[in-house]
Amino acid sequence: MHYNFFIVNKIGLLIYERKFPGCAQLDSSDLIRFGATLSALHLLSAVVTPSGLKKSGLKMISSKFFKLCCFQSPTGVKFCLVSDPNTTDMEKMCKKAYQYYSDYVLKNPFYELDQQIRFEGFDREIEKLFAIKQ
Amino acid sequence: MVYEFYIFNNVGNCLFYLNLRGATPDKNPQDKQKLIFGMLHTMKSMCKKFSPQAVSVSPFTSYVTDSYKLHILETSSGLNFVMFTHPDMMDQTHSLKWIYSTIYCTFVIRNPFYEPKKMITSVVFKQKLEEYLLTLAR
Repeated sequence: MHYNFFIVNKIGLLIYERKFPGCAQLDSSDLIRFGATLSALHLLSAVVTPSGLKKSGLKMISSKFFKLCCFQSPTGVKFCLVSDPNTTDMEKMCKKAYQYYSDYVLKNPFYELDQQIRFEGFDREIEKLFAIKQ
Repeated sequence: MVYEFYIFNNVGNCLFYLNLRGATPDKNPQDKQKLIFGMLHTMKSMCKKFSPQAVSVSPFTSYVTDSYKLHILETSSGLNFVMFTHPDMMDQTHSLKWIYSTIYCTFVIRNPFYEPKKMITSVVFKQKLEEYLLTLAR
């Protein structure tokens, strides 16, 4: 069961968000804060790596009530999925969403980089992707 | 395989630090400890926000990166037990609870010379903790 899906660009701005039934009540300022917080946490988790290990940002946050999977593309765009704790294959779904992002958003000539995503085609594909797995 | 172990109190003071990897120590461990605490504080409040019901102690338990996994247990008194391990390690909440209830309670709380909010200097505590952490193979 999925709760939320977000896309955060490389400077920490939330460019796409999707709520599914059962998610926590978050208003728009919470969501904007979430984008910035997640970017900061991703960077910090790389900085606090134990000495001698390769620095890498966080991939998954586990809690009693949810699991948050964060997939970072090579360009720094983060695809975050919040689901219930028993979900598996979250990274695969985030990678699929990245594929749809490059197909429906980046290849769209009207899309300006790092701006909000408002495309029906992309919405449709994301809906299909997360509805099937529910 | 456990890499590092920290104990923080609720205001962010690092009460204990143990490095099990034997790698070269950082030039300034206090900076890193402050960073770790700040990051965990943010992570905990973010997780509280996403919880469906109001909780007193944050439900955040762990996060994974490519090179390590961080496990945390926050007690109701505000103590944070933080463990950096290999990324494939399973959920360690039970072992952190054991460390708190058995090793910490016996060798720190019941030690009459221990001053609260100060660094833990007990050699026996360090020894027992190290012994236990080395048994956590997987």
